[in-house]
Amino acid sequence: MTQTTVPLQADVILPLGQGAGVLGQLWDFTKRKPLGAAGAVVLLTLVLAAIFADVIAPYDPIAQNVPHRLREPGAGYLLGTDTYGRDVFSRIIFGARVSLYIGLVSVLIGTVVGVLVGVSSGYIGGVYDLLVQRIVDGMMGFPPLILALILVVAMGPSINSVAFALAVTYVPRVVRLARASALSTCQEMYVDAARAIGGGHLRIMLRHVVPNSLAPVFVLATGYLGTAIVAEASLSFLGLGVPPPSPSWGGMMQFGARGYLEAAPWLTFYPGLALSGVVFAFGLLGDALRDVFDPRLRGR
Amino acid sequence: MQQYLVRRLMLFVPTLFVASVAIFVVMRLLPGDVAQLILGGDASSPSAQQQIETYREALGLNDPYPVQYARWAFSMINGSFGGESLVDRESLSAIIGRRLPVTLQLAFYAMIISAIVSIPLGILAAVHQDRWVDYLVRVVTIAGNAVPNFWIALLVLLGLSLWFLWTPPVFYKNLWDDPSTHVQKVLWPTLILAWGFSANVTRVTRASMLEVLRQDYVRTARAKGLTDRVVVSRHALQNALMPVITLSGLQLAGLLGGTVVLETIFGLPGIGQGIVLAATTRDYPVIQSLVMLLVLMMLGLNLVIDLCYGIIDPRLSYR
Repeated sequence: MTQTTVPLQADVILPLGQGAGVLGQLWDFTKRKPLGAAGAVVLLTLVLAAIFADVIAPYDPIAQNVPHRLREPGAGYLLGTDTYGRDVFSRIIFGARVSLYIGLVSVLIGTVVGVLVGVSSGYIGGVYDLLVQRIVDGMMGFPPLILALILVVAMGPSINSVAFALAVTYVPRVVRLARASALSTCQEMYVDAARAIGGGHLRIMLRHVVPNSLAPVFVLATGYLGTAIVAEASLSFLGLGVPPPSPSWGGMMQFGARGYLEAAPWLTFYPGLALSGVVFAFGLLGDALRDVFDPRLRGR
Repeated sequence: MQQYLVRRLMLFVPTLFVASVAIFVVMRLLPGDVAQLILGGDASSPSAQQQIETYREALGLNDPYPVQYARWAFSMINGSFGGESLVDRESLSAIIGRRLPVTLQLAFYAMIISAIVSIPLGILAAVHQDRWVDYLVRVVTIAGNAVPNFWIALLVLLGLSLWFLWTPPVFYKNLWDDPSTHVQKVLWPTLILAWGFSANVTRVTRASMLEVLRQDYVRTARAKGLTDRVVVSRHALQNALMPVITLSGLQLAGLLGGTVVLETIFGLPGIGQGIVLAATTRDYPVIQSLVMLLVLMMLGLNLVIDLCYGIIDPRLSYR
């Protein structure tokens, strides 16, 4: 251990928005957080792949073509074919659609419900707050994956039940965060002012408290998108998620791992690679966003 | 202190109640009639209907839900843990006795390894901030966070079998029965779990150390001529450990439920694998009680962590 110089102020970072317009801001972000921007590029690719899956994918992801089964990756089939002769590359592209759909839907539902419940709980307080907090505590007592798992089992596996189950596991986390930030927002002058001019409770909550409590919720949501995508893959891998003919990365990995791990490693390897890349990208982007939104963490 | 204990325990009970009701209700939502599912076959004939009805009565499925709930909740306390498996009639206390040690051993090993590795790594990275050690540690930890552990597990299995022609033993043995088999079976899942686990602990150790190293008292300690080693180990580390301990506790709780997929891949007969197996056969008493067991352990751990706060950090006054 030689000398340990700890700079007092690592680097002074100007707030975002110095550049002109949206493009300027994006360029600012890219220069300052290259890793975060790289993550954003990967995620953009994912979104494009999901939207234009029909155009990009060379083959039908579900139609079987048994004579071409278990082709190795190469010309014709970029990432090989599975035991039914389905093109792995096409299935990964369509799998992006499934992952993204489940991620977005669960985060959307979870955020809306969580913010409404959390903000009202912080704003109203009293017995209602106490009740909500006990329910949240109870739900947080579950290991997340296990809660999602039993919900999917109860509802029967389908894309929508996976999305719903993941939303349910996400809600208590949002409630906590939204409640905490609503509590501090309620102390602000402008909330008093709104009340002084005669604003109703509902109006104050929706127009003043909710918008001002959202920033931390958005950062959480970015992170949870990645978590939800992994959770979906884990559930599908266990055979308790998206049911078989639909292409899902987790399901593809389970398919490959059951008896074809050595004979056809590409069945397991590539879907996992796609999954890891996406989660990695979410991690990078999430870190960068947190740095930008939370000045206390800058320079770490 | 006593007041705090009482308050904390009073919150613990309703939380447990909410969680157990949630499990109970979700299990009642299972599609299909359990009795019919077990008996199988054609359900339309009168004799089959009769048989199903008798069976429902025997299982207590005709009682009102509150009665069923009370019976289950009571059995969780008196040690029978909700009866027996519907599939092979093994009692749940036997199932738990068999499965719980596996999960606990796995979680325990992973935590030990990561405590040994991650705290020193975190300190090293913080002390040499923005040098190559720091970058290396950050890359490895970000990867540990990002790469899903079941993919790593599959790659490890693939690599071991392709290059070393090694596959893990088929059956699990406890450490005290057959140490060699146990180690072979548990080594890889432990290492993979420990990687994910230490990734977070290392990151938090590093961040927390960085924060503490900027404090005035650290500058004072350095100014009065103490060596770096003493400053780091005596002044900085102790104050930096609080968030690390919190996180470790929370993560341990997460670990208990997070081993599900790894247990399934490596064929480790733990709690998580038990839940997955029971879920695929709709063995609802087993799902119900094993999930409740995990929830109990998680809530219990959180309680212990909260209580530990006061012991570690005397600044916190118990309110």
